[in-house]
Amino acid sequence: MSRWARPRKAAVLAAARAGDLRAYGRLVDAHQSAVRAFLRRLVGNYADADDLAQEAFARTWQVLDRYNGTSSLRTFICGVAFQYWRRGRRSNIRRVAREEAYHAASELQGEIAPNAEAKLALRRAMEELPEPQRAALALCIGGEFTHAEAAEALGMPLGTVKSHVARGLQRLKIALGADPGKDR
Amino acid sequence: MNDDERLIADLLGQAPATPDPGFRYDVFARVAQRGRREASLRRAARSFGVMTAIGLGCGVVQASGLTWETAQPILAAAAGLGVAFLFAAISIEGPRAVLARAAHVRFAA
Repeated sequence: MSRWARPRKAAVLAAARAGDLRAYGRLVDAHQSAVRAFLRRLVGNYADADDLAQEAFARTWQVLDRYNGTSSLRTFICGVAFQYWRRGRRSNIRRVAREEAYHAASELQGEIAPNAEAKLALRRAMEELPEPQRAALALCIGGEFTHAEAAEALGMPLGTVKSHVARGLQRLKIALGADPGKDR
Repeated sequence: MNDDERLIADLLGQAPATPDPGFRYDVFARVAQRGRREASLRRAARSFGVMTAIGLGCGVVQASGLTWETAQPILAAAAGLGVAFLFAAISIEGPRAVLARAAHVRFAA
């Protein structure tokens, strides 16, 4: 069990559901790391990712009564965040692409050259992936989420998530210059 | 997870090492902002409903052929109810929110 004992977790969740914002703050603290990591990998720039994460947490506060407890709360929040990201991306895809490119370039300024090159190559490879594949990969690649959790968060079948992760990882390894067949 | 995958994960974006209190406060600010937006939408919808009802009422009264003299008791009652509603709404959620603040009053034992 990760951070709290199960009964304590349930008590905090129940308090948050009853409208206790302080209890919700503890849930934010407990899950922000995983949610922010997912969005950072998905979006590509930290500022936008954190903005999206805050929006997802604020929305989760409103729909917390819809959380039925069958999956973990962070999975639920990541699902909310994914929907936000996808909706925002579809509504202004050109602006987002332009801003992402600008942020990528400005964030990479001043970094050590080989690292920056690898980052840029990975981001480009990520941006070329289809949305669901990109999201599945962003969830699973850091090891924070299992395939089953990713399937729950993204509303996809488990087999689809596994295949998205395997294919996406192969493309990222190629972009990084690593051997894609290694560890198969 | 092998080294390549770890490297890819780190290069794509790292998880914050510790929970950031600033992030939590930003979430709270957004929650409050959403709450205010919803409350103002509710107020706007209510104002719209009340004004529409008044407009429709006036139209119906005029169409039914009522004169000022015959409709006076009804109008007086409606005006009374309107003032009472306005007073209640201001007391509950107006700028001073008298009744809402009353919940925080503590009496000495």
